[in-house]
Amino acid sequence: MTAQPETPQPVVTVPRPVLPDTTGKSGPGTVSPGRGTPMISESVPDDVEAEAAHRYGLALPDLAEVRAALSNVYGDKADDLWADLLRRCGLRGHETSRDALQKLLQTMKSQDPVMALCARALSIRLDTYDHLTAAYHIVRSAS
Amino acid sequence: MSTVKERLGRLDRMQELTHYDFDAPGLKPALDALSCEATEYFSMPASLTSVVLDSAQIIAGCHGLRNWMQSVAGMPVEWSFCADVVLAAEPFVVTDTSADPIRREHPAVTFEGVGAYAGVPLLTPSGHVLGAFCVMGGEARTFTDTELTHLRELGDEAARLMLAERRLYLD
Repeated sequence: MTAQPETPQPVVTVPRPVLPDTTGKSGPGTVSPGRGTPMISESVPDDVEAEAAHRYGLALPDLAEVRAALSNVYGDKADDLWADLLRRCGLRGHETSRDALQKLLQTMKSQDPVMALCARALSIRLDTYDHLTAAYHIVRSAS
Repeated sequence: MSTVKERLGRLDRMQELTHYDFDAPGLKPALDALSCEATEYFSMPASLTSVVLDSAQIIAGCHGLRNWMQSVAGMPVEWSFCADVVLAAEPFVVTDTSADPIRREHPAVTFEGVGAYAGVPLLTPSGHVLGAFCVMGGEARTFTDTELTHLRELGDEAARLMLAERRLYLD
């Protein structure tokens, strides 16, 4: 390979979908639903949601993930903060519903700014999960 | 040994992040414009400014991103190359993800087709790394020294734009 320092040269041309859909058409392997896709995880059948989660290596955030996030950031103080959060939300920490998760995240966003950032990160993870599982459902239904 | 999330979630770094208003009016359009300039300069399809939190990154500005990444305005750190920039606190380049034994299984590669990536850190005056300014595309490519210098200049400008939104009242 001849080096041409000032002219960017592809090392290898790999046939794969380009990141943005610049043509307005979906490329091979494209599964993204596009802006405005409703976050309707509830409408995705459980088995399809599980398939999608496995495919993308994602898990629906739960209270345990929130607890782990607090531990990562706050270390030894996380236990007390977690107990206080649960008390404020009226939760016991074993709940599995999406409502419980949303309540917890909403409460975190009203706490100290660092905790609010943790909640924002977890919300992004939840939104990603919803978008990708919904997209997978659409693609699977169409195939 | 600390996990990625523990390293990204260090309390002093998270506290530094709270000093910035990433949702300030006018910030996103300015960062979008920088990304637009980057995609034209590099002839690459996508560019973004990220703020890397403990378990996900915020996309504070972008050009060329599609669909869910744009809708969510972020992504989990497992999908983020910018997290590597933050952890290294220095420019991070992958010229060919398919030839990189670690990166080729990265979800941004396998599902979104990222073939090449170059990112530079967004440094605060106190030395923390907020996130990264980056370009990416679907095909492998190399980056010249001149290009990486320009990427650093664009990253510095992105950091300056963010610094202008520092919340002084918290100091």
